[in-house]
Amino acid sequence: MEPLVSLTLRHNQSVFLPGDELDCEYQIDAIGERQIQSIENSVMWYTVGKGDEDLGVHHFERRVANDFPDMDLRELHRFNTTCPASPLSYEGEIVKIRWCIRVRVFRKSGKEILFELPFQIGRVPARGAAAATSPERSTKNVR
Amino acid sequence: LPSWIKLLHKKRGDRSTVSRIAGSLGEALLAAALVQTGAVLAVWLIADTIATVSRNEPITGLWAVVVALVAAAACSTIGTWRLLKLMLQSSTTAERRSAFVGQARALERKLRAPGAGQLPQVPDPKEFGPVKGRHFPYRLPTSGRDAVRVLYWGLSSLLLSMVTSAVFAVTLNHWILSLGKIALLVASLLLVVLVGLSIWWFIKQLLAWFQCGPTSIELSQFPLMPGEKIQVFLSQTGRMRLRKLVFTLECVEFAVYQQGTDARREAKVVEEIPIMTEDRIDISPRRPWEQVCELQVPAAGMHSFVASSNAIQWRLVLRAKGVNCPSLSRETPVVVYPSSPPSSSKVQV
Repeated sequence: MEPLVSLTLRHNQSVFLPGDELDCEYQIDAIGERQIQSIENSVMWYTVGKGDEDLGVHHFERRVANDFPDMDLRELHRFNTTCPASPLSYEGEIVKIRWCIRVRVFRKSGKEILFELPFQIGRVPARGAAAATSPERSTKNVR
Repeated sequence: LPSWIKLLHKKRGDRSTVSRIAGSLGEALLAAALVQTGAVLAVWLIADTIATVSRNEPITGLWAVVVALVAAAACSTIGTWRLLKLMLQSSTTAERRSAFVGQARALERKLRAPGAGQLPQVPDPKEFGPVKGRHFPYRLPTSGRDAVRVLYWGLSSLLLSMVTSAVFAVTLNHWILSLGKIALLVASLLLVVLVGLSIWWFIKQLLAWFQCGPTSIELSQFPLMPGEKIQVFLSQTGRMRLRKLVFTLECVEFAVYQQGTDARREAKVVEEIPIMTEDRIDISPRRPWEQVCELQVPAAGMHSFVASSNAIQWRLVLRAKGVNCPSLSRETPVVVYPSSPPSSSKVQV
């Protein structure tokens, strides 16, 4: 059975401005207490569109089970960071820039599970065709 | 003396016998002729030698052939170097040449420390080589596609001349008798006509190149901030008559992607903001066209962005349709900052 991750942005905010505080928390369920080897959480941007993917990490944190006395990484964990001045979220025609919080869970069995929560920095309107076809942003996207 | 006698550019102290444009054009034509002569001579000699060898005849005067080949290569090399140098000198100002060096240095710095700076993924305005302007504090280097057109036609006429030269050498040596002398003669004559046409077109493009002088763009503020109004000074020099001139601010998205083993690049203009349009402009070397206009940077626009495979670039573009001369297209990239820039956002020049 796949573990469940509840990943939320505090105050349910999904649009931030540069300089805003981004508070996030996550908790892992449906997995044994000693089955997680490590967890990585990052605040990052990546590009979508015609070109090859570019990405940049703004905040990164890695927690390893061996560093904790009870070796349990399932508990609620909070982290926060200040939103950078750039790049802003952008929905262009052949270039799109998207921000997300990514949590990667590494199991002791060797399996790796990825969870993603998209959010937006800035309020740049979509361009051209992207403006017409861009879907509503989901507040939570678990892969 | 009548002006038609003064064909050659001759300097006498600070004065010269003809205008700078005519002098440079004369030198460029001489350089182009050198390249053409060298290439034609080299191909002729090689084709002649191959023909002789194929007939199992001894090559007489091998040293003379080698010396002639060296001379032909030297002609082509000197001509190419001189032509490129003249084109660069005539199309760019000292500031722009200096900016090229500055951009190369900036790229080197960027490769050493990627992502450094207060605004991640926003290009450093200093990399764009702004210098102090005459009317406004920032003068930006411009670039155009005119050089590509001249080089394209120059290379085409050169290649065609080389092929013609080889065909002539073969014809005169009666190398491929099976094709028949008449067929070869007809092919040679057709090629001569084509060579003549391509050389004529190349000279026309070269003439146009020297008619279009440099474009100068100066800004009251650099980098640009969303929602702000700035003053732009625009100047075009040269000797030409323009039917219509359009000056715009464009936002272009660039994407680089792998397709098989090829790296492909796609560009898409996603926003075009007109700044000014003017009809019927006469530009002479003594009377450059100058204009000051106002630019409103869109408040909700995306900022400049650069990454390894994707980029969002803002640029000022000048397009003009000429009367009896080719169209003009010049552009200069500018940096647009996000709405909340760092405190020290002004560029010192």
